[in-house]
Amino acid sequence: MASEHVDNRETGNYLMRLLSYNPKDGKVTRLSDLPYGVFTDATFDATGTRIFGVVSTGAQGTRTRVAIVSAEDGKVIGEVQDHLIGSIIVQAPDGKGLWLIGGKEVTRISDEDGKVLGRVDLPFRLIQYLGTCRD
Amino acid sequence: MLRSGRSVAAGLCWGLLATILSCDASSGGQPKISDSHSNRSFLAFGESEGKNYLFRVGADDLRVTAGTVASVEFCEAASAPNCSRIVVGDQWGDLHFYLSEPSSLKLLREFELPEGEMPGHVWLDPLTNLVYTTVRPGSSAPRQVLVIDMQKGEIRTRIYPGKMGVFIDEAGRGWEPSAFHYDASSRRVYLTSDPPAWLDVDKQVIGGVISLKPLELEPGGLHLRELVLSPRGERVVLWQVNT
Repeated sequence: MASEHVDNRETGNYLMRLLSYNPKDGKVTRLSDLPYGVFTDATFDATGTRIFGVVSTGAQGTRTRVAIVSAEDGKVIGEVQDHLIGSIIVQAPDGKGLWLIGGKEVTRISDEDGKVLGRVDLPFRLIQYLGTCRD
Repeated sequence: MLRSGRSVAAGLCWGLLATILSCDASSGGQPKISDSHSNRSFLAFGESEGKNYLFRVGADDLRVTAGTVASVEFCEAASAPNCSRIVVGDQWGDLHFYLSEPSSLKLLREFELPEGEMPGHVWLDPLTNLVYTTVRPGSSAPRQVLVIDMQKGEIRTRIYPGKMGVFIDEAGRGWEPSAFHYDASSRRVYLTSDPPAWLDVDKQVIGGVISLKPLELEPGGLHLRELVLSPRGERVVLWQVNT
């Protein structure tokens, strides 16, 4: 789910609008306007009530934040610092928390509050995340 | 043998890739994701010391040479019979179908797209094995979605989204969907096109367009950037930015 890096925050001319689409009735509603450049990636938590979005706000390689957003009203519930910009965020293969994969490392965070639970180096620089193996 | 006229180097590269994929399972002492608490792993395209590889990180840390990979889709539906299959689109217009086994990635089939057509984003339907790929036939032509039966080695259908206004901007230019997002519960694939749309996977047609017009701040002022599906497909959240 890669998207182009746009750092509107640098210019002060930023707006990211969250919309919700209901497949049953086809209606689209506006959730919120958030003061972020853009999510480089996002995922729902396992319950479908919150969205964890990797927020793009700084230069490449710098650590930035993960925004925790309510899927009901689009409001920011919390922000977690110290994550890699441009990372992709996925459910951990074992279902325990979320993985942030970016640069040359994997960071495991809690899907409750985003707290960092661990970090592991990768033997390569990530270009594209392809998917979770489910053997 | 795939596309005629291709360089010998390219053919050798893919031959080498196929060979390595079928036999190289060495961990090479690579770090493992030691806190995963399971044998499960993930697949990634990455760079190391100036070379590109296809990595399977986790249980075995398999690394295979994949310098030519342009686009890859890994089928990850847990309950599907084909969940360990991978389709790769390369920069020469070919698709390659792999089986992910415990100690290798085995090349099963290859498919050559028609001359001049290049795969963009690819998606593998876990139930039918059909491969969906975006293509741009020419520099000014609108993008299409090809549905390919790799078992039979034929194009099942072409989806021309322009007929419904999708993938076409106001100037009539093609707008390539940037990703496929599959919802297994409804058998829909959502496309990050502008405007976004969804495909009916079983009918292999565009099932609907998500109209964002009433919600734009000003005409052309906001563009769809991405979307994400809730776990059971009951909600799709999209985000627009004022780029």
